[in-house]
Amino acid sequence: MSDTQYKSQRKTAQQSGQKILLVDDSSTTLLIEEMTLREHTQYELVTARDGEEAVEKAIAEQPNLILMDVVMPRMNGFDACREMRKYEALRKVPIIMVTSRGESFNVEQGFESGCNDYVTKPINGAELVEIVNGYLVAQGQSQ
Amino acid sequence: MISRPESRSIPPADLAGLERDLRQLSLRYMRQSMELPLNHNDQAVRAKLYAAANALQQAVREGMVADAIFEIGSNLIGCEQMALLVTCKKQDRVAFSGSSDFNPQQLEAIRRNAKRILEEAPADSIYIKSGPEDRSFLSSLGISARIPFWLDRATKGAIVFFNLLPQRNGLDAGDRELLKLLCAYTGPCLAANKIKHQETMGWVQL
Repeated sequence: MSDTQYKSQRKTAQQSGQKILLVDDSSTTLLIEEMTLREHTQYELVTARDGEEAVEKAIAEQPNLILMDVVMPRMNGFDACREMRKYEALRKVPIIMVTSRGESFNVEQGFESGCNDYVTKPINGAELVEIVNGYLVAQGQSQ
Repeated sequence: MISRPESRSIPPADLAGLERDLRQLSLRYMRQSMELPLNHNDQAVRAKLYAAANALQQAVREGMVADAIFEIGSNLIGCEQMALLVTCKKQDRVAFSGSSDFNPQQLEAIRRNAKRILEEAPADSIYIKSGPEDRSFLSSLGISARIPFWLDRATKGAIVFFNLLPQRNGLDAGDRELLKLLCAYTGPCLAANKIKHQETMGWVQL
């Protein structure tokens, strides 16, 4: 399959107008996430650099999906996730944790905080697009 | 094996030239990454090289080169236990600093073995642990990779990667590309930033 066909196939599978909140204090991770999602999807992207900013942006922007780092200054990803789940409008928004540690302890802690899924660093573009599409295409079809 | 760069490939050591060089490199990697489909093996490698060159460019401007190196290790390679060793002008002692998860055992390994860490494997080549069967001295210290860097053709120090994150089984060809980038640019980036020894964790006499 050619590059153009591949991208076209991926993009037409997506709903336009859906928004993703990307949260990470690492500029390199955020850069890769933004570049990958801008080039290979049509979702609108909003970013935040720590947990507190993430909660504020989530309330203000009402994203369709949140992709959030765990270890961050001011408020970590688990606490930010718990905080977001207190708001009715954010209760069903898929939250995917981006963690550097895939051990069971952290994964359990993530699910207990209310996240739906997780991916491990270093970020893999294909895996990222697949998991994001998995949630958002299903969400678009159910609306 | 990756050895000391030839003169024509040595990055410029002045701040403006280095920034320009890294910006061009970063844009080239970005274009290459965007041209490749996501299912192409090299796409992720190009994306990481883009992010790494971009991080170094910003770090040179902001004077945060050590932080950028640790950030690249943590987020692009999958190693949160790193040390940066920088030899002083007289080559008789080493300043070292560690990343966030750098632990006391690793600190002790650096204190006791800095000279050998810089000189083993051989000194002017990138060392990457070959697997569980690797019985080398660097492997015995728990080192996954050691990247030398140069300035003005003299070895200026090394970046030491200890344990990788649990999801990484070892370093692959893509990681090797990132290590080559660090090997070529760390020396000039640190020099352009006038290496701040007061920010190091300590000194070791060689």
